[in-house]
Amino acid sequence: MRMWKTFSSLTIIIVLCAAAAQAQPRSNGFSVVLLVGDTQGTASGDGLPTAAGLRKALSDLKDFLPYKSYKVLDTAWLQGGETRMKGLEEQEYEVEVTNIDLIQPNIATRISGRLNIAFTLQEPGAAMNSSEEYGRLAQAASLEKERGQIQANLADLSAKYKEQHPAVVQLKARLAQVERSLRLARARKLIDSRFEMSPGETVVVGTSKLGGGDKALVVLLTAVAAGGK
Amino acid sequence: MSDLRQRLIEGDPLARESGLNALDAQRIRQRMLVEARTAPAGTVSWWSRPLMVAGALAACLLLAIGIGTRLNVNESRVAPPPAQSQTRRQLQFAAPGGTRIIWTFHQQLEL
Repeated sequence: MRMWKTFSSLTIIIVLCAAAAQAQPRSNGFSVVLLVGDTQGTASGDGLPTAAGLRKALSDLKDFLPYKSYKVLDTAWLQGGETRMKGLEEQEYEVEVTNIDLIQPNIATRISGRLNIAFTLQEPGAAMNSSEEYGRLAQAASLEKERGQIQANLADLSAKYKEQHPAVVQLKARLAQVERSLRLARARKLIDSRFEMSPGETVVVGTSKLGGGDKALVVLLTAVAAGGK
Repeated sequence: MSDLRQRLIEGDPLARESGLNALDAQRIRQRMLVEARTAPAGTVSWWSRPLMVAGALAACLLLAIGIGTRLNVNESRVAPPPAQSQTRRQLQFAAPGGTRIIWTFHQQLEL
C-alpha cells in the first residue's frame, strides 16, 4: 500500500513537470540579422534594426567590441533550418539554425524553457570536416598555380591578338572557370557554435580574424517566443 | 654363505612375532586416510596456477602497450596535423549590458 502511494506521488510529480514544461513559452522561430562591423568609418544608426531587443544587443556590442560602424547586410526569418544570406561583395553565406531539442529531446532544457541551439554560418560548398579541409587546401594550391599560368598566357596572347580572338576568349573562359573552382575550394565554415538561449533573447554570434582585422561578421540571433515577443 | 643366511633368519626377532591384529591394522589405515585428506596439497596450491597465467598475460599486455605507444609516437612525428591554416578559436562571454556574445576567431579571415 505504501509502495503504491509512493508510485502514485511520483507519477503525479512527473505529469506536473511535463505540464509545466509544456506551459513554458517556446520559440516560434528565429530572426537572423547579418551585419558587418568595421573599425573604419563613423558610427551611424542608418539602416540598423529598430526593434528594442536588437538595439540593446547592438548597443552592448558597440561598447564591448572595437568596431566603430555596423552595417546590415541581410536579414532573414527562420522557423529553423537553412537559408542563404547576402554578404559583402556578392559573397553568399549559408546560415543554419537548429533547435537541438527537436532532434535530441532534453528534459533539463525543456523544463527550464531554454532552447538548445546549433548555429552555423559558412560559405557555400564549405568542407564538412577537417580532413576535407586539408584536401581542399591542396586543391586550392594547385588551382592557384594553374590560375597563375593562365594569367601569364593571357597576358602574352592579349599583347599579340585582339580581345575577340578565339584563343583569348577561350583562355578567359578557362580563367573564369578556375576562379570559380578556387572560390569553392577556399569556401570555409566561419561559425559553428552550440549554445542555450531563452525565447525572446538576442544572442550575438560573430567572427573575425585572430589578433584583429578591420572587419567582422556579426549575427544578431533572436529566438522569437511563441507569443511573438 | 647359506649358513650365514640361515643364521640371520633364525636371529631375526620379528620373524617370530605374530603380525598386527585386524583392529590395529584398521586403526592405522583410518589414521592414514584422515591425515591424507587434511594434509596441504603439496607445494603448488590450487590458486597459484591461474595466477601465474594471469601474470604472464598482464606482462604481455604491458609489453604490447609499450610497443604500441612507441609506434604511435613515431607516427605522430611523421604526420603533421592537417589543416593548420584553418584554425578556429571560440569564445563565449557576456557584455556588461548582459548580451551574450559567442565569437569565433579565424587564423586567416579576410572579409
